[in-house]
Amino acid sequence: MTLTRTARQSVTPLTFAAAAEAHLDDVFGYLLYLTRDRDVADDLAGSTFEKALRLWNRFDPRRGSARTWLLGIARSTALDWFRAEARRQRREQAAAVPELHEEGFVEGLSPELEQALAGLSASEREVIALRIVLELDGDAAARVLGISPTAVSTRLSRALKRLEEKVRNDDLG
Amino acid sequence: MTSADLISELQTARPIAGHALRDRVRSIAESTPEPRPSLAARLSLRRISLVAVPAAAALAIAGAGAIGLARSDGVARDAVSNQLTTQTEDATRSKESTAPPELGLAGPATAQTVSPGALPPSTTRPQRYAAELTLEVAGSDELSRATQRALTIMRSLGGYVVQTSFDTQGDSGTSSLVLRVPTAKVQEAIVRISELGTIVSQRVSIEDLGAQIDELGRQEAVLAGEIARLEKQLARDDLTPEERATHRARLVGARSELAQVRALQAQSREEARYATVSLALRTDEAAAVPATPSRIDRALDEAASILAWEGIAVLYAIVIAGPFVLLGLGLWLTARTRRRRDDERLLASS
Repeated sequence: MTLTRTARQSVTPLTFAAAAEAHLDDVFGYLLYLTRDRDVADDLAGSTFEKALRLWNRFDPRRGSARTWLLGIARSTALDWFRAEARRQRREQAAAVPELHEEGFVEGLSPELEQALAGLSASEREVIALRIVLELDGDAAARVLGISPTAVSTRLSRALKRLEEKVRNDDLG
Repeated sequence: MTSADLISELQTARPIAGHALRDRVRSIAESTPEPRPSLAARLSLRRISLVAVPAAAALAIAGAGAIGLARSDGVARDAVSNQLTTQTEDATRSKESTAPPELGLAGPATAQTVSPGALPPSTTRPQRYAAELTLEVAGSDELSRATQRALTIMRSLGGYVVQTSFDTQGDSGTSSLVLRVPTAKVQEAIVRISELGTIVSQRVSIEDLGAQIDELGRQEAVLAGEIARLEKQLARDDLTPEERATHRARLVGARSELAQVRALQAQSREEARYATVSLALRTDEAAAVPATPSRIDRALDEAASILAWEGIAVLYAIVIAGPFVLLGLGLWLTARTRRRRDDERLLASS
């Protein structure tokens, strides 16, 4: 990690290496929740950082943190993967639900919670990942998702309600 | 399990990237030289706007100011040129007005325009001396007093009034006097009248009448000789009736012409004996004419005019380009909204 300070700027300019080191787990965790597949999350995280390095000269700390910026790139990378996956499934005339590893995609979670998470949509999982797991504030999450902070709150509320219902249903079952 | 329990469990089991991924990302970061922040990143749209808009405005104002200043100089030159033209025309008119009098009597006439008192009338040669004086006084009361005082001065110097007019409205007004004063005392008259108010303009015109009077004298002598010769011939007895009639007719004509020449001589001498003083008195308010704007005022006017044209040009550009910009913006927003909706649908179904 390289930290440099210029006399002209009072803020510490962040290097790409430092940003990658600091936010690797966040990017990986977000992609894992989104895809529910560790291998895919690994690949997408690698692709995310490759893309991020190419775009690093466009990063402007005044417009948002490196974490938010990297998560935005991760989302874009994940969406590309989802589109490609959807095309692949259409070609193979497979079912609408992609064949993903649905068990044990997050270490340390109870089977009930993990199963309930698997029952949520990627859209619901990503808002939980951003707001609960990575603990982004409403504005940062809104910036990553490209929606308003109010919409983020609404989406999170619904996602948590569904997650709770699914866990409860699983307990009852 | 409550929401709080769920949140707690989710936060506790926060995913951590594997060593392989960490090594891969480190190698990515180390393999390629880190690109420096681009100019576009350093200069955000907001920052560019913050600089560009005031800079453009400053440039527009500076340009308008520079052009206005340059043009005001041209306007000033035009004004000076017009003023000089007017003065030249005035001088020409003045010379025309002081041209040698009627009857086409030849003789060099010298007309000069000088300040009062600068050139006194000649004591040896007859001259037509005319002075024009414009004075400014404080108000209508002062105008009345100055008019009366001018008349008193004239009378005390042996002069008389040829023409007078007095016009007041409220505290403003004008007074015009044409006075005749003995030429020998015209200098004193001008000096004393000048003290009645503030001198606005003054002009003295002197025309030499000596040559004219000399010419009239020669004509008189010739005519007198002719008359004497005709009288002598008429006194003879050997004239035929026709010759007598012809000589008589010539004698009558010569006597008439002599009388005319003598009248002109008397008139010229009278003109030389009395000088004409044209006095115009006016109040401050009556004299208030639109002041010639200063160069700064003219520059500001020009700059404001140019700024107005720049504003019109900008408005014109906005009106022309506005619909296209709005259309482009609308298409871009539609495409973005559609792409986001597709993304949401994709994630919601995954």
